[in-house]
Amino acid sequence: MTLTEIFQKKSQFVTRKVGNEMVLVPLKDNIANMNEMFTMNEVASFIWESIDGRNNENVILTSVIEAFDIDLETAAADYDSFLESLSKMMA
Amino acid sequence: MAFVSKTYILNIGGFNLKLFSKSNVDISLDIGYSSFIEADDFADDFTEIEIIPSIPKELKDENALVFETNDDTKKLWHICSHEDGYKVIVFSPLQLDLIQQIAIINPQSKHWKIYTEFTGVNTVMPLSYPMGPLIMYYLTVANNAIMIHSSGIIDGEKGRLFSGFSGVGKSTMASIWQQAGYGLINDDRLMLTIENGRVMMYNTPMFYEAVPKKQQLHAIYLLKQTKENVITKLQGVDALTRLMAFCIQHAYDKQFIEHHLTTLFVISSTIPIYELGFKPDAEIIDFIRLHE
Repeated sequence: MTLTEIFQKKSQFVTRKVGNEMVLVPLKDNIANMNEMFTMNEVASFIWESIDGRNNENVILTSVIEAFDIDLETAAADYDSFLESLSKMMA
Repeated sequence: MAFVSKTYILNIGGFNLKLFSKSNVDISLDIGYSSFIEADDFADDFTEIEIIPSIPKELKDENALVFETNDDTKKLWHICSHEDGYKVIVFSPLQLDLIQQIAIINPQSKHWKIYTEFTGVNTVMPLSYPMGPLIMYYLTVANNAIMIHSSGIIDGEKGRLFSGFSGVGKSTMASIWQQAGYGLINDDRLMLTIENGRVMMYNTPMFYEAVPKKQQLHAIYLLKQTKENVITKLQGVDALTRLMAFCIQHAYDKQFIEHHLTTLFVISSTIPIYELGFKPDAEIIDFIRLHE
Protein backbone atom coordinates (compact mmCIF):
# COMPACT_ATOMS: atom_id res chain seq x y z
CA MET A 1 0.00 0.00 0.00
CA THR A 2 1.41 3.40 -0.97
CA LEU A 3 1.73 6.39 1.34
CA THR A 4 -0.89 8.20 -0.74
CA GLU A 5 -3.34 5.34 -0.30
CA ILE A 6 -2.67 5.25 3.44
CA PHE A 7 -3.17 9.01 3.68
CA GLN A 8 -6.49 8.75 1.85
CA LYS A 9 -7.69 6.10 4.29
CA LYS A 10 -6.66 7.95 7.46
CA SER A 11 -10.11 9.47 7.77
CA GLN A 12 -11.48 5.95 8.21
CA PHE A 13 -9.93 5.83 11.67
CA VAL A 14 -10.72 7.49 14.94
CA THR A 15 -7.44 8.32 16.66
CA ARG A 16 -6.41 9.45 20.09
CA LYS A 17 -2.92 10.42 21.15
CA VAL A 18 -1.95 9.15 24.62
CA GLY A 19 1.39 10.66 25.53
CA ASN A 20 3.66 9.60 22.67
CA GLU A 21 1.51 6.57 21.87
CA MET A 22 -1.70 6.40 19.90
CA VAL A 23 -4.94 4.44 19.68
CA LEU A 24 -6.57 3.81 16.30
CA VAL A 25 -10.13 2.61 15.94
CA PRO A 26 -11.01 1.52 12.39
CA LEU A 27 -14.35 2.51 10.88
CA LYS A 28 -16.10 0.39 8.28
CA ASP A 29 -19.20 1.91 6.71
CA ASN A 30 -19.05 4.44 9.57
CA ILE A 31 -19.27 1.68 12.18
CA ALA A 32 -16.32 1.45 14.56
CA ASN A 33 -14.75 -1.97 14.85
CA MET A 34 -13.74 -2.04 18.49
CA ASN A 35 -12.37 -5.59 18.13
CA GLU A 36 -9.71 -4.37 15.71
CA MET A 37 -8.57 -1.45 17.77
CA PHE A 38 -4.90 -0.79 17.09
CA THR A 39 -2.31 0.76 19.39
CA MET A 40 0.88 2.40 18.19
CA ASN A 41 4.12 2.96 20.03
CA GLU A 42 6.08 6.20 19.91
CA VAL A 43 7.83 5.49 16.58
CA ALA A 44 4.70 4.21 14.86
CA SER A 45 2.72 7.25 16.07
CA PHE A 46 5.42 9.51 14.69
CA ILE A 47 5.31 7.78 11.30
CA TRP A 48 1.49 7.87 11.26
CA GLU A 49 1.50 11.62 11.88
CA SER A 50 4.16 12.10 9.23
CA ILE A 51 1.96 10.53 6.57
CA ASP A 52 0.34 13.78 5.51
CA GLY A 53 -0.10 13.34 1.75
CA ARG A 54 3.12 15.24 1.00
CA ASN A 55 6.01 13.54 2.80
CA ASN A 56 7.63 10.71 0.88
CA GLU A 57 9.41 7.67 2.35
CA ASN A 58 12.82 9.35 2.40
CA VAL A 59 11.51 12.42 4.24
CA ILE A 60 9.75 10.26 6.84
CA LEU A 61 12.76 8.02 7.37
CA THR A 62 15.06 11.01 7.81
CA SER A 63 12.63 12.49 10.35
CA VAL A 64 12.49 9.20 12.26
CA ILE A 65 16.30 8.98 12.36
CA GLU A 66 16.56 12.53 13.70
CA ALA A 67 13.68 12.29 16.17
CA PHE A 68 14.70 9.01 17.76
CA ASP A 69 18.46 9.12 17.24
CA ILE A 70 18.56 5.73 15.52
CA ASP A 71 20.44 4.49 12.45
CA LEU A 72 18.94 4.11 8.99
CA GLU A 73 18.75 0.32 9.22
CA THR A 74 16.71 0.41 12.44
CA ALA A 75 14.48 3.22 11.16
CA ALA A 76 13.83 1.38 7.89
CA ALA A 77 12.99 -1.83 9.76
CA ASP A 78 10.53 0.02 12.02
CA TYR A 79 9.05 1.81 9.02
CA ASP A 80 8.59 -1.38 6.97
CA SER A 81 7.14 -3.25 9.91
CA PHE A 82 4.66 -0.47 10.66
CA LEU A 83 3.56 -0.09 7.04
CA GLU A 84 3.06 -3.83 6.75
CA SER A 85 0.81 -3.84 9.85
CA LEU A 86 -1.04 -0.79 8.62
CA SER A 87 -1.59 -2.28 5.17
CA LYS A 88 -3.05 -5.43 6.70
CA MET A 89 -5.38 -3.39 8.87
CA MET A 90 -6.47 -1.18 5.99
CA ALA A 91 -6.96 -4.02 3.55
CA MET B 1 -44.59 -0.08 42.25
CA ALA B 2 -44.32 2.85 39.83
CA PHE B 3 -44.43 6.63 40.24
CA VAL B 4 -46.89 8.76 38.29
CA SER B 5 -46.72 12.49 37.60
CA LYS B 6 -47.19 15.04 34.83
CA THR B 7 -43.57 16.13 34.82
CA TYR B 8 -40.28 15.05 36.37
CA ILE B 9 -36.79 16.28 36.93
CA LEU B 10 -34.36 13.36 37.23
CA ASN B 11 -30.78 13.85 38.37
CA ILE B 12 -28.59 11.07 37.00
CA GLY B 13 -24.83 11.29 37.20
CA GLY B 14 -25.14 14.95 38.16
CA PHE B 15 -27.03 15.71 34.93
CA ASN B 16 -30.63 16.87 34.94
CA LEU B 17 -33.29 15.37 32.71
CA LYS B 18 -36.69 17.01 32.53
CA LEU B 19 -39.54 14.77 31.39
CA PHE B 20 -42.73 16.52 30.40
CA SER B 21 -45.67 16.19 28.04
CA LYS B 22 -47.81 18.77 26.29
CA SER B 23 -50.66 16.25 26.46
CA ASN B 24 -52.53 15.77 29.69
CA VAL B 25 -50.98 12.37 30.16
CA ASP B 26 -49.66 10.69 33.31
CA ILE B 27 -45.99 9.82 33.05
CA SER B 28 -45.09 6.73 35.01
CA LEU B 29 -41.57 5.66 36.00
CA ASP B 30 -40.29 2.36 37.33
CA ILE B 31 -39.40 2.12 41.01
CA GLY B 32 -35.67 2.35 40.20
CA TYR B 33 -36.04 6.00 39.23
CA SER B 34 -37.91 7.05 42.37
CA SER B 35 -34.89 8.20 44.38
CA PHE B 36 -33.47 10.09 41.40
CA ILE B 37 -36.48 12.43 41.17
CA GLU B 38 -35.74 16.02 42.15
CA ALA B 39 -38.10 18.87 43.00
CA ASP B 40 -39.54 20.65 39.96
CA ASP B 41 -37.62 23.86 40.62
CA PHE B 42 -34.38 22.04 41.43
CA ALA B 43 -32.65 22.62 38.14
CA ASP B 44 -32.20 25.41 35.65
CA ASP B 45 -29.80 23.48 33.44
CA PHE B 46 -31.29 20.33 32.01
CA THR B 47 -31.89 18.24 28.95
CA GLU B 48 -35.61 18.13 28.35
CA ILE B 49 -37.44 15.15 26.93
CA GLU B 50 -40.88 15.74 25.54
CA ILE B 51 -43.07 12.70 26.05
CA ILE B 52 -45.55 12.20 23.24
CA PRO B 53 -48.26 9.59 23.71
CA SER B 54 -48.74 7.20 20.79
CA ILE B 55 -46.24 6.51 18.02
CA PRO B 56 -47.03 7.87 14.54
CA LYS B 57 -46.99 5.22 11.82
CA GLU B 58 -44.61 7.22 9.63
CA LEU B 59 -42.01 7.19 12.39
CA LYS B 60 -41.84 3.39 12.43
CA ASP B 61 -39.94 2.90 9.18
CA GLU B 62 -36.32 1.75 9.39
CA ASN B 63 -35.10 3.11 6.06
CA ALA B 64 -31.98 4.72 7.50
CA LEU B 65 -30.97 1.89 9.82
CA VAL B 66 -27.42 2.32 11.14
CA PHE B 67 -27.32 -0.19 13.98
CA GLU B 68 -29.47 -2.97 15.41
CA THR B 69 -29.42 -5.15 18.48
CA ASN B 70 -31.41 -8.36 18.43
CA ASP B 71 -31.30 -11.65 20.25
CA ASP B 72 -31.99 -15.09 18.78
CA THR B 73 -35.73 -14.66 18.67
CA LYS B 74 -36.62 -10.99 18.68
CA LYS B 75 -35.66 -7.42 17.97
CA LEU B 76 -34.35 -5.44 20.95
CA TRP B 77 -33.52 -1.93 19.75
CA HIS B 78 -32.63 -0.38 16.41
CA ILE B 79 -30.97 2.96 15.61
CA CYS B 80 -31.74 4.93 12.46
CA SER B 81 -30.39 8.21 11.15
CA HIS B 82 -32.95 10.97 11.43
CA GLU B 83 -33.03 14.57 10.26
CA ASP B 84 -33.00 15.64 13.93
CA GLY B 85 -30.27 13.24 15.06
CA TYR B 86 -30.93 9.58 15.76
CA LYS B 87 -34.18 7.67 15.86
CA VAL B 88 -34.01 5.05 18.61
CA ILE B 89 -36.60 2.32 18.13
CA VAL B 90 -37.14 0.18 21.19
CA PHE B 91 -39.08 -3.07 20.95
CA SER B 92 -41.07 -4.64 23.74
CA PRO B 93 -39.07 -7.29 25.65
CA LEU B 94 -42.34 -9.16 26.11
CA GLN B 95 -44.16 -8.99 22.78
CA LEU B 96 -42.49 -9.93 19.50
CA ASP B 97 -41.74 -7.00 17.15
CA LEU B 98 -44.00 -4.59 19.08
CA ILE B 99 -42.50 -1.11 19.14
CA GLN B 100 -42.55 0.12 22.72
CA GLN B 101 -41.07 3.61 22.27
CA ILE B 102 -39.29 5.68 19.66
CA ALA B 103 -36.91 8.41 20.78
CA ILE B 104 -35.53 11.23 18.66
CA ILE B 105 -32.19 12.21 20.12
CA ASN B 106 -29.41 14.53 19.16
CA PRO B 107 -26.66 14.66 21.81
CA GLN B 108 -25.73 18.15 20.55
CA SER B 109 -29.20 19.38 21.50
CA LYS B 110 -30.96 19.62 24.86
CA HIS B 111 -34.38 18.89 23.40
CA TRP B 112 -35.16 15.22 22.89
CA LYS B 113 -38.45 13.42 22.27
CA ILE B 114 -39.87 10.05 23.22
CA TYR B 115 -42.95 8.74 21.42
CA THR B 116 -44.51 5.98 23.46
CA GLU B 117 -47.60 3.81 23.45
CA PHE B 118 -50.07 4.00 26.34
CA THR B 119 -49.55 1.46 29.11
CA GLY B 120 -52.74 2.41 30.96
CA VAL B 121 -55.89 4.46 30.38
CA ASN B 122 -54.00 7.74 30.40
CA THR B 123 -50.55 6.56 31.38
CA VAL B 124 -47.25 6.14 29.54
CA MET B 125 -43.94 4.67 30.71
CA PRO B 126 -41.37 6.40 28.49
CA LEU B 127 -38.27 5.04 30.24
CA SER B 128 -39.31 1.41 30.56
CA TYR B 129 -36.42 -0.94 29.79
CA PRO B 130 -34.36 -0.68 27.65
CA MET B 131 -35.19 2.94 26.79
CA GLY B 132 -34.00 4.21 30.18
CA PRO B 133 -30.42 2.87 29.89
CA LEU B 134 -30.29 4.06 26.25
CA ILE B 135 -31.24 7.59 27.37
CA MET B 136 -28.52 7.39 30.03
CA TYR B 137 -26.02 6.40 27.37
CA TYR B 138 -26.90 9.42 25.22
CA LEU B 139 -26.62 11.56 28.34
CA THR B 140 -23.00 10.43 28.69
CA VAL B 141 -22.06 11.23 25.10
CA ALA B 142 -23.67 14.65 25.51
CA ASN B 143 -21.43 15.32 28.52
CA ASN B 144 -18.00 14.51 30.00
CA ALA B 145 -19.12 11.09 31.10
CA ILE B 146 -19.08 7.39 30.38
CA MET B 147 -20.91 4.34 31.69
CA ILE B 148 -19.04 1.23 32.73
CA HIS B 149 -19.95 -2.25 33.90
CA SER B 150 -18.46 -2.19 37.37
CA SER B 151 -18.78 -2.22 41.14
CA GLY B 152 -17.97 0.86 43.19
CA ILE B 153 -16.73 0.87 46.77
CA ILE B 154 -16.46 3.75 49.24
CA ASP B 155 -13.56 3.58 51.69
CA GLY B 156 -13.76 6.79 53.72
CA GLU B 157 -12.77 9.54 51.32
CA LYS B 158 -11.56 7.02 48.75
CA GLY B 159 -13.54 5.58 45.89
CA ARG B 160 -12.47 2.40 44.16
CA LEU B 161 -13.99 0.86 41.06
CA PHE B 162 -13.78 -2.78 40.04
CA SER B 163 -14.50 -3.78 36.47
CA GLY B 164 -13.94 -6.78 34.26
CA PHE B 165 -15.62 -9.30 32.03
CA SER B 166 -18.86 -10.93 33.12
CA GLY B 167 -18.25 -13.60 35.74
CA VAL B 168 -14.78 -12.42 36.70
CA GLY B 169 -15.84 -11.45 40.22
CA LYS B 170 -17.10 -7.85 40.30
CA SER B 171 -20.03 -8.71 42.55
CA THR B 172 -17.84 -11.02 44.64
CA MET B 173 -15.36 -8.21 45.16
CA ALA B 174 -18.16 -5.80 46.06
CA SER B 175 -19.56 -8.32 48.51
CA ILE B 176 -16.18 -8.78 50.22
CA TRP B 177 -15.88 -5.03 50.85
CA GLN B 178 -19.52 -4.69 51.85
CA GLN B 179 -19.23 -7.51 54.39
CA ALA B 180 -16.19 -5.76 55.84
CA GLY B 181 -18.34 -2.67 56.44
CA TYR B 182 -17.46 -0.50 53.44
CA GLY B 183 -20.02 1.39 51.36
CA LEU B 184 -21.22 -0.01 48.05
CA ILE B 185 -22.23 2.37 45.26
CA ASN B 186 -23.53 -0.22 42.82
CA ASP B 187 -22.40 -3.62 41.62
CA ASP B 188 -23.54 -3.50 38.02
CA ARG B 189 -23.39 -0.20 36.13
CA LEU B 190 -21.76 3.10 37.12
CA MET B 191 -21.56 6.47 35.46
CA LEU B 192 -18.16 8.19 35.59
CA THR B 193 -18.01 11.94 35.13
CA ILE B 194 -15.22 14.47 35.07
CA GLU B 195 -15.89 17.40 37.37
CA ASN B 196 -13.30 20.12 38.00
CA GLY B 197 -10.42 17.79 37.23
CA ARG B 198 -11.76 15.01 39.44
CA VAL B 199 -13.29 11.72 38.37
CA MET B 200 -16.60 11.05 40.09
CA MET B 201 -18.60 7.84 40.11
CA TYR B 202 -22.37 7.68 40.40
CA ASN B 203 -24.85 4.86 40.59
CA THR B 204 -27.61 4.91 37.99
CA PRO B 205 -31.27 3.87 38.20
CA MET B 206 -31.67 0.10 38.16
CA PHE B 207 -34.74 -2.16 38.28
CA TYR B 208 -34.74 -1.89 42.08
CA GLU B 209 -34.91 1.14 44.34
CA ALA B 210 -31.55 2.54 45.39
CA VAL B 211 -30.46 5.83 46.91
CA PRO B 212 -28.41 7.99 44.50
CA LYS B 213 -24.74 7.88 45.51
CA LYS B 214 -21.72 9.86 44.43
CA GLN B 215 -18.06 9.40 45.29
CA GLN B 216 -14.77 10.76 44.02
CA LEU B 217 -12.88 7.95 42.33
CA HIS B 218 -9.24 7.32 43.25
CA ALA B 219 -8.38 4.06 41.53
CA ILE B 220 -9.74 1.61 38.97
CA TYR B 221 -9.08 -2.13 39.13
CA LEU B 222 -9.60 -4.40 36.13
CA LEU B 223 -10.18 -7.84 37.55
CA LYS B 224 -8.97 -11.25 36.50
CA GLN B 225 -9.13 -14.57 38.27
CA THR B 226 -5.88 -15.86 39.73
CA LYS B 227 -4.85 -18.27 42.48
CA GLU B 228 -2.93 -15.58 44.34
CA ASN B 229 -3.43 -11.85 44.70
CA VAL B 230 -1.38 -10.00 42.09
CA ILE B 231 -1.47 -6.36 41.01
CA THR B 232 0.03 -4.54 38.01
CA LYS B 233 -0.26 -0.84 37.28
CA LEU B 234 -1.30 -0.20 33.67
CA GLN B 235 0.09 2.69 31.66
CA GLY B 236 -0.67 4.77 28.57
CA VAL B 237 -2.64 3.27 25.70
CA ASP B 238 -2.71 -0.10 27.43
CA ALA B 239 -4.61 1.37 30.40
CA LEU B 240 -6.98 3.31 28.14
CA THR B 241 -7.84 0.51 25.75
CA ARG B 242 -8.28 -2.11 28.44
CA LEU B 243 -10.57 0.17 30.40
CA MET B 244 -12.52 0.94 27.23
CA ALA B 245 -13.39 -2.73 26.79
CA PHE B 246 -15.68 -2.56 29.83
CA CYS B 247 -17.43 0.69 28.98
CA ILE B 248 -20.86 0.93 27.40
CA GLN B 249 -20.28 2.26 23.92
CA HIS B 250 -22.15 2.53 20.65
CA ALA B 251 -20.03 2.15 17.54
CA TYR B 252 -22.21 3.75 14.84
CA ASP B 253 -21.09 7.34 15.35
CA LYS B 254 -17.50 8.52 14.88
CA GLN B 255 -18.10 11.39 17.31
CA PHE B 256 -19.23 8.96 20.00
CA ILE B 257 -15.98 7.00 19.66
CA GLU B 258 -13.98 10.23 19.79
CA HIS B 259 -15.93 11.18 22.91
CA HIS B 260 -15.21 7.84 24.59
CA LEU B 261 -11.51 8.00 23.75
CA THR B 262 -11.22 11.57 25.04
CA THR B 263 -13.15 10.86 28.24
CA LEU B 264 -11.15 7.69 28.93
CA PHE B 265 -7.92 9.55 28.19
CA VAL B 266 -8.78 12.10 30.88
CA ILE B 267 -9.81 9.39 33.34
CA SER B 268 -6.70 7.27 32.73
CA SER B 269 -4.52 10.38 33.02
CA THR B 270 -6.16 11.43 36.29
CA ILE B 271 -6.34 8.23 38.33
CA PRO B 272 -4.32 5.01 38.37
CA ILE B 273 -5.63 1.91 36.62
CA TYR B 274 -4.51 -1.50 37.82
CA GLU B 275 -4.91 -5.04 36.63
CA LEU B 276 -5.83 -7.08 39.69
CA GLY B 277 -5.83 -10.84 40.00
CA PHE B 278 -7.44 -11.91 43.23
CA LYS B 279 -8.54 -14.86 45.25
CA PRO B 280 -11.95 -14.19 46.72
CA ASP B 281 -11.41 -13.61 50.41
CA ALA B 282 -11.05 -10.65 52.77
CA GLU B 283 -7.25 -10.58 52.39
CA ILE B 284 -7.72 -8.68 49.14
CA ILE B 285 -8.74 -5.54 51.06
CA ASP B 286 -5.39 -5.17 52.82
CA PHE B 287 -3.57 -6.28 49.67
CA ILE B 288 -5.14 -3.45 47.65
CA ARG B 289 -4.51 -0.85 50.33
CA LEU B 290 -0.88 -1.94 50.63
CA HIS B 291 -0.13 -1.86 46.92
CA GLU B 292 -1.96 1.18 45.58
